[in-house]
Amino acid sequence: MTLYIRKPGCEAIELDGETMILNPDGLTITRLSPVASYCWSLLCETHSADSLSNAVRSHYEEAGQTVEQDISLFLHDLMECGLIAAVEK
Amino acid sequence: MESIDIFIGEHVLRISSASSAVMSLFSRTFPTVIRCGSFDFEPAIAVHLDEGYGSPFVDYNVGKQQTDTGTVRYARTDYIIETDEDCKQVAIKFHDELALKHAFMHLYSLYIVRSGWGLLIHSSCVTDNCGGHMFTGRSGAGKSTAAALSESESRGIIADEATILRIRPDEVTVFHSPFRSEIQTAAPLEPGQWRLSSIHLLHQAEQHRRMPIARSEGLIRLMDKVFFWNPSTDDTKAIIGLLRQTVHLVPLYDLYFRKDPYFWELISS
Repeated sequence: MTLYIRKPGCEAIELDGETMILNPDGLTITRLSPVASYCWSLLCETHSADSLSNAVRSHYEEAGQTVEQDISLFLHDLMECGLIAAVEK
Repeated sequence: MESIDIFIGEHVLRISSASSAVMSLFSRTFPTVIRCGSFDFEPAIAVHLDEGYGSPFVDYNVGKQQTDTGTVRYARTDYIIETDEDCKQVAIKFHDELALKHAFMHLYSLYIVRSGWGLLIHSSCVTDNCGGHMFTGRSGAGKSTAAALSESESRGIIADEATILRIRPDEVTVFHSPFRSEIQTAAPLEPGQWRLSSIHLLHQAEQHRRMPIARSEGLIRLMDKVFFWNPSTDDTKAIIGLLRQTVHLVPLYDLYFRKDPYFWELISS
């Protein structure tokens, strides 16, 4: 099973209610949607794609059928941006 | 040995060289720089200049090297800066006038970011009764053009290429900039400062129009406008922190303008 966790050094910036993640090594800033921001807050500890999807379903009553697909895409994008690390367990 | 004291921002720099030709070249390279009237000021940075280094400009790549003596060297094909950790004791060797100008921008940007004082932004800046108004954008967007169109009895150009921002928790202030591209306004006798009232990202258009930009969007769009070379992780964090403070305090706009001064009706209204 693959677990994901934030990379050290990445910092969240809050501006007007919007969350952005700074990767100072890659010189990038990534803007997060509110749901993505919630997932980022959880990734201070290791999570699998399934545990994140379950957390989103519990937190957002209106979560739709595509949560698993959205979480998979979200994790892929954060990996691409160098913001999270994957750990095989 | 010759030396002069100059103001950049609110800092005094003591410039020295063994060569009077180098000091003359410095004066020609920075004709709008403000000179201190006396040597009573304690310099923040002491810079020793020497010519005869390297070869003409090739690209903006700067190498960084820590020396055994604790100094840091920043080297490009046409200049080398050797500085202590705090950028207070500095030696610059350069190839030509362009190299001298870029080396000074490099040094000053390093100093103000590392000291948490502020930023050097690729932009022009015009002052009026309300304070300073900064104009930035992509290359060719019209930074110098907007500044040139702005000059009038009630407005002055304090930067046409690199605006000096002092960033404090309650205010962003701009200063006369000696780092010029085309517009060499007369050097003021005293250093002045103005509260930064607005930041405009320029687009050339058929009609004048101004649209507010969200702070988060503004932060991202200002990131590549900061003059800085090879930032470390800590430098990047410092730059983002200073930009965040700036967009929190100063409103940002997309400014669509054509080449006449009437876009000021949008700014002054």
